[in-house]
Amino acid sequence: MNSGVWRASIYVLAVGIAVICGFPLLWMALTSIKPDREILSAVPSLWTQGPHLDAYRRLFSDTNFGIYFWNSIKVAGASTLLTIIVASLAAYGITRFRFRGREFVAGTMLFTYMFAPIMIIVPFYILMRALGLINSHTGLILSYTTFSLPFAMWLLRSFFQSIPLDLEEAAMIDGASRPQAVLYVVMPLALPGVIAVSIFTFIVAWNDYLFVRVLIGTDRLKTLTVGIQDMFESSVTDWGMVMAAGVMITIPALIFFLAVQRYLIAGWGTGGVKG
Amino acid sequence: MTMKHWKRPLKTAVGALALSVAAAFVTPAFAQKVVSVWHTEPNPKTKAVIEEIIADFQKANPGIKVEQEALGWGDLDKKMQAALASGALPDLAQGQTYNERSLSAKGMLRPLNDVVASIGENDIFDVVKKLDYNTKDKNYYGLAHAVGVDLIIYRKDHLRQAGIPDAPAKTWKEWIEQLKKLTDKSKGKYGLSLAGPGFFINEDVYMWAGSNGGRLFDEKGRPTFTEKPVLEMLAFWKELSDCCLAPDWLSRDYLATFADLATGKTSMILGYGRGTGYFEQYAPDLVAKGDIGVFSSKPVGPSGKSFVTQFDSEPWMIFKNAKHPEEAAAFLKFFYKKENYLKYIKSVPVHFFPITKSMRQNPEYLAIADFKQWKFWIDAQHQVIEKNDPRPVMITQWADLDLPFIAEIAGSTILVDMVTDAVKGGKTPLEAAQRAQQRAEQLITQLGYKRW
Amino acid sequence: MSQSGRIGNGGTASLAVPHLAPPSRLLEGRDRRIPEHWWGYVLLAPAALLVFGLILYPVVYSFWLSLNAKHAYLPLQTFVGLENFRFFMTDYDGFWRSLKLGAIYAFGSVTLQTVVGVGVALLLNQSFIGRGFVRALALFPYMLPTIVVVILTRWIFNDSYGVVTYALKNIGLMPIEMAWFAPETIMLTLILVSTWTFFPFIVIGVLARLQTIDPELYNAAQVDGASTLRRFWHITLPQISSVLFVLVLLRFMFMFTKFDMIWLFAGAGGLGYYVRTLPIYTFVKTFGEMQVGMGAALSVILFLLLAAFAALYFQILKRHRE
Repeated sequence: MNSGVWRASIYVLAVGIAVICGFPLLWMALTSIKPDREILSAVPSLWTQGPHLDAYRRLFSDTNFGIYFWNSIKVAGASTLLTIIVASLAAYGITRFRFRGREFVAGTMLFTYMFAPIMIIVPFYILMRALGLINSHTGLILSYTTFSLPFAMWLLRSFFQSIPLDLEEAAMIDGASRPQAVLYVVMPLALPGVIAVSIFTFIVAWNDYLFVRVLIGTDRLKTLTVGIQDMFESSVTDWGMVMAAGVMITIPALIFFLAVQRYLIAGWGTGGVKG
Repeated sequence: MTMKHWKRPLKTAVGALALSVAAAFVTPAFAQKVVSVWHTEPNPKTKAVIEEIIADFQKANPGIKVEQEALGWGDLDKKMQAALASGALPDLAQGQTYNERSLSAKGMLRPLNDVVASIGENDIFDVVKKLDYNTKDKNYYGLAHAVGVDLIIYRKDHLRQAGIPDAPAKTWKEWIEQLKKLTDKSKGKYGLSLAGPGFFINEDVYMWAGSNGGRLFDEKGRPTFTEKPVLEMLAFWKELSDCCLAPDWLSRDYLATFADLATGKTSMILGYGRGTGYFEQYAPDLVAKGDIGVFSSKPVGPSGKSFVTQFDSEPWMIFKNAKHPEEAAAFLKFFYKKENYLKYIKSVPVHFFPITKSMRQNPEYLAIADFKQWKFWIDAQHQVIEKNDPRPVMITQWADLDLPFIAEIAGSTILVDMVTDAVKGGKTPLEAAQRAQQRAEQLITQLGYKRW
Repeated sequence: MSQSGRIGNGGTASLAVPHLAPPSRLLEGRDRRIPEHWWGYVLLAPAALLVFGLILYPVVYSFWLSLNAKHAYLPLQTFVGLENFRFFMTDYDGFWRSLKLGAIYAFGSVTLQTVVGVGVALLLNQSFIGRGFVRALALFPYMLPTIVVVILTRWIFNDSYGVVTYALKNIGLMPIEMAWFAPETIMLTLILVSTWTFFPFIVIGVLARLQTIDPELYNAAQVDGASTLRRFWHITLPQISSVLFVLVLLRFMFMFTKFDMIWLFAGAGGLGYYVRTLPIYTFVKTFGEMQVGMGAALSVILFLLLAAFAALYFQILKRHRE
């Protein structure tokens, strides 16, 4: 194939993808700064006559958006941290020690994801109520961690498997205790996997709707997903404000994502393929 | 530390412990009673007003603390169900109209006769009494907080342009003719804009069946979907959808219909007085020119003689087994005192139609700024309340309030599917109704409520 | 001793294939007194506790609930054995239809996600100016919360105000009478939006794998005169097949059990009938009709279906390999 045509078509496709993926977000941002009348005009305009940030002001002063935002960050962050710790411990334990049922882990992951949350939500609710974890962030954090664990363990296990034992032993011969060897030698090498796990868990927690909807009743404890939906459906709607909310939700995810995306691909490449 | 040196901290600790134990015994006498109040008005103005009322009440009643929880309307159901299931009930809550009967039948509600007496029973509009007064054991078990009525909202300028007289259609046939004149599909203009979410379709089924002289359940609670008035309603709906509704109306939500009216994409919608705020924000010119109007009647179907519309009122209810029902009752009495109730009404004046005749004539009420522009809207609602027997949401006949399965039928999508089948699914009204009938009978039987 | 850095770049050298050293070597020195498998159990314990406690227990309870008729919040519960299941077997318009819709949605969106995902991954594997930027944009839809995607989509595909609808109808690519959110088109719209949202999942996995393929293979093939298509078919595809296998299986499971996207999109409204997949039907039965036992029965059926599918999938793959 002619390499000129080849190069050209690559660029065309690349632009196409960028537009299809990026345009909706651009439109969302644009709508959030348009004056109210322009938003509902019959002919959508690609720019605005009077951009203003009033929608954002309304968002933070008239609604509990700020609270929802903070709740989401708190819950997603804690879930991610907890998942990494628990999954790393488990994956390390499985790969470093002779262990009956090692293969069980891979099977468990698949098995667990066959029980989608919607299926077990009612007994889950009853269980959480018995544990006194209804209407609490602790309940949410435990839920997200639990649902991320199978995938996290599967991924980290592949990573740990690929890191030779010699490294830890060398460190321990040099005088390090085992925990130190793990923390300073093994974990840095497993970093891509850890990052991949943290992205996955963060997104699971950040985007979750069903658990918050069922487990949380108080407005002050809601996260963004449920908070936004309720704002959207409440008696006072405001397209500009809703779009502003969308922009605000997107920005931290965007920042987080841009910061770690290189690690993401690297992480998958090493860990995901074996087995 | 040496022996000597920790004696002093120890003494301090013991002293503190003794003090706190003593305090624990003494404080119950001064302990604050905390009354939890749930309501479904999460908009900032109303929340602030309720906070004011609470502050005044607490000043007048030291020892009682009131905490409000503002829920979205959809959250209320969920939270109420969770509370019912776990037994952690609020003291005072606004609830669903159809729940009031079933909860009182289970003996869970504290009668509110004393609250009603403090307001003056004769001062309350009849429609509220019909909702909240239990004629069997002669008790009030709930009290509506306000009674906004659902009306047809329309664009006067559109009617003028189409040469249609500024008067409501009396029958469905007339209405369709009006709407046809107002529809121009090539321009994306539709005569009517209906809300698509299941809840609103349910409401329209109840109202329109009633406006056609029909009913949905018989005396034994058996569904009657295949009766003529319901079939006629489905046929009418299909005609309406084909001629005068947007092709994607099923996906439009309630507020989108207001947007449609404001931008001129539609000429008529069905809605409540809360929408005035929306028009003022998005279409101030229309409001200024007085081009937004409401009709104080709705059309009736071929088999109907009088129209049925609904009023929106989440009645206040007090749970007998909550922590502080008596204090909750005291708060409720305070809430309905003239100066406080007026404040509450002022937060959403065109929608919060007061439950008392005296408030309706109160000069301070009549002087509310919003009424300069929207007086006609209040007058229309008043007319309907006095003369046209509006029903609470989710029922057609008053007797339906006593049916124990209204919530489940509403949540089941049976009625929504019936409409979708007939209007878009290519089924005849009879086929759609038969399928819905069968599903409803099955559901009622499965729930254990079959009495026929 | 060095490990070539996987960190920070697309990865070049490959890591040594691991194999576990005999465990006894690990426990020389101070830890010798502790039996080795104990450590394994201890480290695994927190994870096992959470997964068994919070997932497996509710699952078992769910199986029990499916044999009862239970109300969602009133204290009414009676044992009914297999009655719930018997009901669904003849529930053509409810259960069987939801299976059909669920299958359409799952197969349709997974197929599209895979095709688009592999395509985009291949594209992003080429080097060109601005690749990093395009890559970030292409992966981004996956990061958005579902509610934002739904609100955004309903806004831009709105029949009256939507910019996409306006553009397409003005250019003439879309008939005037058509609407994205009408009964005839809602499933298609849903599939398209789901593809947009989830294809990055495939891209991430495939792209990572693509970057570990030895360039020598391609060079050799090119020297031998193989065309682009043949290079793809005989080198690329086999190399990514193992990761693609897992990705497709996961995506199918996630799409078949997807709840929030469909519910927020259309499940609660007049269009609900046209997108009522099995998870949606389960939700309606549980929280709409308040029949928790029936909802649990549907969950059990859903699980059995997925297990059967996974088993079948593995079988086909095994046979394909031989």
